[in-house]
Amino acid sequence: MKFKIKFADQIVGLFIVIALVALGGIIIMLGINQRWFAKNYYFKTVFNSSTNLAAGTAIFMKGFQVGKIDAIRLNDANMVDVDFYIYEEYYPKVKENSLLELSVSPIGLGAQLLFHPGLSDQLLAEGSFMYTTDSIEGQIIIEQELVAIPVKDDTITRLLSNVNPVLENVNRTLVTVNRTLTEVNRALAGQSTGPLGTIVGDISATTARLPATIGNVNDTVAMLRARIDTLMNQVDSLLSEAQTSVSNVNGITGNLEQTTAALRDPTGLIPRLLDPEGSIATFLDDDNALFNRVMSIIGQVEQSVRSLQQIVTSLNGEMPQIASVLNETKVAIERAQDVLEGIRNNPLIRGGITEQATQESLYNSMREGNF
Amino acid sequence: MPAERSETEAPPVELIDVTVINGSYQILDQVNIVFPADSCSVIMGTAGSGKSTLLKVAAGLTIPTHGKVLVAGRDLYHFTSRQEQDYQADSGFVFQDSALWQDTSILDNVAMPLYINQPGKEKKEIYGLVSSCLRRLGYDEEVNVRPVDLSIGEQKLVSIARGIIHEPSIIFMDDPTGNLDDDATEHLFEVLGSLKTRKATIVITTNNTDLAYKFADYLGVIKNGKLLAFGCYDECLAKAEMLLSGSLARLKSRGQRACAPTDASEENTGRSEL
Amino acid sequence: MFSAIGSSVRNQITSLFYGLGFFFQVLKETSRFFRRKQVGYKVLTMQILFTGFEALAVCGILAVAIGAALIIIGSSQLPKFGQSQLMYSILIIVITRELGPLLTAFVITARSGTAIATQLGTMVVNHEIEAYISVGLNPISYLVVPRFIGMVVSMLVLTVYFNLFGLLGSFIVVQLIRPIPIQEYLVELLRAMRVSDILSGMLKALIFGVIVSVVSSYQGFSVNRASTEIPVAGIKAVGQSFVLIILADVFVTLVQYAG
Repeated sequence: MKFKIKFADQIVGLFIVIALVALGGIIIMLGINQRWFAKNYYFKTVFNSSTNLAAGTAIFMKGFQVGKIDAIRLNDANMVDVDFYIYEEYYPKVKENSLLELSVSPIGLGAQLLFHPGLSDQLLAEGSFMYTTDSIEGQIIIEQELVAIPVKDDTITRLLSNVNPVLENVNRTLVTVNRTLTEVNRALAGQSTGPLGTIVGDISATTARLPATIGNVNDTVAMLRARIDTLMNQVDSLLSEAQTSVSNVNGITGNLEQTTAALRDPTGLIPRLLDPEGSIATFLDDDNALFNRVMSIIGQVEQSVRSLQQIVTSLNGEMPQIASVLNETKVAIERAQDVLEGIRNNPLIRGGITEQATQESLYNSMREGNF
Repeated sequence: MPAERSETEAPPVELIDVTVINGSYQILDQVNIVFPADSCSVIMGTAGSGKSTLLKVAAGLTIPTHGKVLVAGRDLYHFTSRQEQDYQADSGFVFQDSALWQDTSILDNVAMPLYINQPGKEKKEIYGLVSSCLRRLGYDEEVNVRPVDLSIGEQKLVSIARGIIHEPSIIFMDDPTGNLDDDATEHLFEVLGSLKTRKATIVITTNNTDLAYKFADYLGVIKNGKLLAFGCYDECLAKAEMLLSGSLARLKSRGQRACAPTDASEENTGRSEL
Repeated sequence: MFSAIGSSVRNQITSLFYGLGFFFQVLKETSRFFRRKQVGYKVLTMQILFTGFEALAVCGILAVAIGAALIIIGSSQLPKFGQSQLMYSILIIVITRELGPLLTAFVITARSGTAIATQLGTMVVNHEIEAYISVGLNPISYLVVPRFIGMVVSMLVLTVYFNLFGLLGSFIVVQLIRPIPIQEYLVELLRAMRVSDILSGMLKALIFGVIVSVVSSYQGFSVNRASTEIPVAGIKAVGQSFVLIILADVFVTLVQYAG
């Protein structure tokens, strides 16, 4: 106590000075972090519309933020004048014939303002006009190859290109599953000539491939990042793939309904199941060994789809379609599981198909809940 | 330095029609009083008669409900805060209950008026002044202690020292002999004697007949908030004779005394009122 | 009954105006404080020592605890929603903008608000205030202004420390439980922080400091003579300060988010 009072002035002085230094330090760090002290180089351009443009919109080049929009306004010619600046450290890249491109996501996921450096040796003087890729002058520059327009490498494009092969794989799996189910259906209907074991073996072979396929997805994704392709083609094919997937799933669902209906109709089933020569008898008379195998295969399929779903969860924001496709796939597989379980449970003796506790996909639950 | 002294025609402090009401209780009732310059006025009265309030009004510590206070002829309540503070800094006030600042040392307590009136004075010099002043009052102990470490009587001495250390031109003392033992009272009387020779305007409220007998040039009597008499010692004593018993009667028993110092008498005779 | 209500309302309004008058008096004297070479500096230093420095430990512990809780909750819960970046915004909103100044003000009110009110109340009862007047010291400029400035300075400084402890101290504590790379933490924190966040926190600290010091000294001076009034003044100082602080907090936040 005595000490404190004796050195009150010093303590208080230190107390305040440390706080001031800390405050000043934080503000300076903040300034450095938020580029208060860096010089900016200002340019002008004109866009057709201010949609997706606002003061503060970032300008990217190869994924790096190189500048920002300073101000936008509607001019007398009903065009949108845009003032923007490029950060000091990127100014050396601003050569003549540089272009700006407003790259709008085709599926309504926002837009990005891209900067394409010109291939000239001359730096573009500060305050000069920079054309956009939409303008006639911009098109001429592109045609004459005076500008380096890189592959679309923004996040969304990259994600979209990654999704494509994943979907292809899913599609393949779905086709196989569908085929298998059809076979099962036919076997159940007594139309199949071969033993069911072959079919099951078939399923096994296909599904064994699936985990590997899924495991490859990440590699594929990584590989594909490097792949050079145009954005529109990818998106187009992606969308058509998604479409196909959906129709595939519809087919599967139809099939499953048919199967289920068949299973639920005991009159048709009983004679078939009682037929000692029938393949079902074989299926059922081996102490569930075959069934367990089928179940494990189905389990693997489901697991694979789950892991696919996990991958897709991260893409959720970007690709709502994938989530729904996968979700339907999962439903399809679960119903296949139901069918097989129904066979095991032999409706004559035990009957019925156990209730499945459904797990909603994260995507759906996030959207449907009150957020 | 004080303007009051140069303007000899106006008395240093004058109360006109001062009424103080606290809630429903009337403390002072239309008091008119002039404290003559360079003389010692003693106000006597029973406990609760309004002596302290009268003193505080005169010192500008209490704002009266009605009436005004003239300081050197000018209304105290029209003073700027600066002028008011100057008036207060140039006056000393000794509180009845000492009212020392508990969180500062005795040294700082006594030296505070010096810090204010003579800023920039050397610490050593201040220390010397404080200790000599305290010694004259009979206090010769440590000055770097807190008021709580002192007895009530010592606190009173310190309080008196605080009131006179800066040699103010007006000194208000509210019951200065209260809580003092006989020795301390003796010391106080010596100091008062030297103050009188220094020609300061002194206003004292007391019940101590000794003090009144020895130092009063002017005497006032207050009862129930009314100033019954104020004037030259003998005059007042004669006029108030029928009004009071107790201390005044005892004072009376001590006999007649010469009236008032020479230079203040003329202006006073005209003004003293009953 | 109506007359009772009427007179109580009139008293309230009178005391409100009296309080405002007191506040402006304090402001006026504050503007003069630094121009005068005065004995008040010692009081000011002591006030900062008691109000600011000695409350540092309490504020520090509060800040580290809250910051650590926020970081742990943020870094474990938010990634589930894919919003891990939000942690930094939440940290800044809670520590820098809202709780920092508010909790600091509460600590200061509880510690020093009561101290000021009871101290001044005791001085009134002991006639020490009158003694100051009698030697020519304005009690507002000598007693209130140093407390006012001291408290405002302490509030501002303690808020800075609260931020330091809440944002950095808590980070160090969290390192023991759930390590996060410091580089990432700092860069993300600075990215999420705006100068307006700091200014908002400081503005609140300033306002709260003014409220606590003015209310406490006003309540201290409202003691008349009896020593039994002193604890009442202390209680009133805390109660009124809390209410006014929260009202001011809501007001400032509304102005900032609405504007």
